[in-house]
Amino acid sequence: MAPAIKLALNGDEGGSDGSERVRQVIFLTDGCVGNEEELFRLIRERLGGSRLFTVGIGSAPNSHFMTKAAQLGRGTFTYVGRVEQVREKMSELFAKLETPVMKGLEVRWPHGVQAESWPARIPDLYAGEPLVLTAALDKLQGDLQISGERDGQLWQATVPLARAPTGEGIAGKGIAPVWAREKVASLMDALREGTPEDEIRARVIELATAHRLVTRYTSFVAVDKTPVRPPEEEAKLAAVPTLLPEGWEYDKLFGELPQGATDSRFALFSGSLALLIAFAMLLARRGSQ
Amino acid sequence: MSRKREIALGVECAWTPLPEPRRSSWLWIVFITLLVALGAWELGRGAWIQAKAWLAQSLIAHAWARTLSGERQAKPWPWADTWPVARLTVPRLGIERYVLAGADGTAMAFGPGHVSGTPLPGEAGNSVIGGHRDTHLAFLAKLKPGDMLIAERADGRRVTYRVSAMEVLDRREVWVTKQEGPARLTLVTCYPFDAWRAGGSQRYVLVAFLS
Repeated sequence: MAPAIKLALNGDEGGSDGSERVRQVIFLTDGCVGNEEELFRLIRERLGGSRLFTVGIGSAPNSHFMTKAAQLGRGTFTYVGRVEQVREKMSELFAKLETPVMKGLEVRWPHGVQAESWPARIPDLYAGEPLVLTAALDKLQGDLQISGERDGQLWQATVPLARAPTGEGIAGKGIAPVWAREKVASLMDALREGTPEDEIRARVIELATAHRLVTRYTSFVAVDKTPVRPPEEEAKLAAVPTLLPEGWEYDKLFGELPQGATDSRFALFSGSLALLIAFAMLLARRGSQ
Repeated sequence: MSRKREIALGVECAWTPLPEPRRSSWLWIVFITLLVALGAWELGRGAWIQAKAWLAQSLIAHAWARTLSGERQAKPWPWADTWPVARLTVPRLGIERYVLAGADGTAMAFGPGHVSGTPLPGEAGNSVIGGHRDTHLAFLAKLKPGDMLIAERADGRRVTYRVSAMEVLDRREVWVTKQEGPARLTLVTCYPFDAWRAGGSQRYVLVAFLS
């Protein structure tokens, strides 16, 4: 993948030819992206003013890589699960690319409100996309100011924070983990950018345990209360066949032994049979006449 | 029509019945023609596969003679995309086969194919050769443990292998082509030997160790 990304992303800031055009790069793959970190670094270094859109096709594209790459590339990730969806999803994407972008989005929190909001870098908005921000606030009051630039013109909106729904029953339980997940993601980005791991690790574990998240440092452990194997019996080791993602073929991935047969016997037999039947039918007809 | 029938019923009862309507006899001819055409086609196809397999071996024999006298990658016919890499003989059965480079369908139509990437016979490691069970490698069914397999190499040297074991495996069990272990020859063909059609998933694998 690296050579393709190097070729497509040239670090150009855009607008060098005097126009206000946004350079849009589409990255299309069916899956196995391995060297994620190297590619992320490449994208970060060479993106410049371009936008990177990723399209994953098939049952097992590397969704983590594609989502993250699109985020770094200030674009979006499109997932096409089945071949029949290609037309629909791709025309959606192209419609998105052809409509104007809202750039330079900025969010201003009301005065006196402590806000910790994610993502830190707000992506550009394309047609049909919502702006999703998660923030931890100390109090809900005042107006949230959102501004952006669309077709060279200033756009602004105001959201009164006091009207945000609160409380356990409404959205409180769901939103906190979303916010925490975003924060973990940005911490992991910081790690990639060179913050020492010890510091990141401590902060991620603290967040993850508070909000029950699976991260690089935390995972769920299920404890079965009803053991099915008597404790004195020893467990057996056995190889279990690896399952492949749907639509993948074992032979293509791992190869197979040469195929050692021809159809010659079948052809000789069926040919003789057909001729024999024809001959018998001719004889029978002649006999009846 | 009705008049004719009257005659047939009334006057000419003693005669043989009128011939059947023309349409059905026309259909009959078409059917028989199609059947004969299909039969001839299938017979020709089957015979062609066999003829190709055995005629090619005699052409390859000439290319092998050129190989032994120093030519590299001697093509048995000008447009061939394969060349002989070894000559395999079984003295007990009087078998002689010229092994071609590459175990793909095109090469294996003309001779057993040497799986590219595996060492040639006589070299260290596992030399893998595939072939059709109904043409060149049909003799594998008759080989017994202890039988001698002689491989002649392009440099003229002859190496002797002893048949050690045979096994029926699934086509995905590519571990038999791995390289670790003593120098050996692995012959692969389809199984069962008397199956009618190609494309089964079983493989008959025979291993012979260098002696």
